[in-house]
Amino acid sequence: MLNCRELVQETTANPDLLEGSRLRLSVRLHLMMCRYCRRYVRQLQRLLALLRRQHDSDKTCPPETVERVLAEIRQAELKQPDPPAS
Amino acid sequence: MASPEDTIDLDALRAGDQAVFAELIRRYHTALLGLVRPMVGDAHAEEVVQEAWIKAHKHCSRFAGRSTIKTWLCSIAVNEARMQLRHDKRESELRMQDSSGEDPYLERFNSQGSWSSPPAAWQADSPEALLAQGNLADCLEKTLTQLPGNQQALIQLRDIDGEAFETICNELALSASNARVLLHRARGALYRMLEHYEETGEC
Ligand SMILES: [Zn+2]
Repeated sequence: MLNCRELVQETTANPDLLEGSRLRLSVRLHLMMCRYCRRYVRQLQRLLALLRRQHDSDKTCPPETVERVLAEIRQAELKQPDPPAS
Repeated sequence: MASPEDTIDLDALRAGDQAVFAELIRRYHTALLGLVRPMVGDAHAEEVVQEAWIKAHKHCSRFAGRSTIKTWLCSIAVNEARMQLRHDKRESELRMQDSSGEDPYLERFNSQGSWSSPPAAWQADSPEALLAQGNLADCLEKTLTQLPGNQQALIQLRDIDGEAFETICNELALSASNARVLLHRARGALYRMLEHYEETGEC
């Protein structure tokens, strides 16, 4: 029988938690009986949904930065047209 | 869901189109800086990401498209950060940071493994309602950027970008079991932050 600690361990480490993949039977059985774990999993899913929402668009950087990075690339490639693979 | 990846012309990128490469820099430079900063510190972050861009530029004709371009760039940046650390003989420090972090749920359970301090109900019950609360977005961002590099990369790539878990493990050279441990820590740290915020209204 899964205890609460093991349930938290297993659900928090589950990479597909937000995708609503089927949880193991022992996890689902525990959730049916334990309101604290139900609450925990719901809150964790809410957190993950929140992260996804908040970061929907990445922060872009200003054109000066892009120019600087490109200039450095050109310089590096002039200096070392074909550096040995390390 | 429309993804910004859709508008990157990969064929043009592979053919060496500089405008496309410039667009990559514009979009992902800030994210890559955030990714390597916890690993190498403020002083080295710019230099590491610059080096990553040089590598990416050199190898982009060979980008195979097995992962998204962002995941590919992240893996190059994380590798550069690791090389920098090895160079500085600080690698052991990094490993410590990634593997010895405390279990965020320590002391939440009794010896039988039941909750001794169970989660409380939250006022806000949807992501929108949560985000409507003051500076929560900033608090989350801050907690995220303070996580060790691999933990931050996992949250970014898996939970935020929705990249396939297996692809991420491959690109970051992590075993699936190790990645799960790191995911547990990282999500736990964010959960604790959010829980604290719900209780006190502060980060
Ligand atoms: Zn339980």
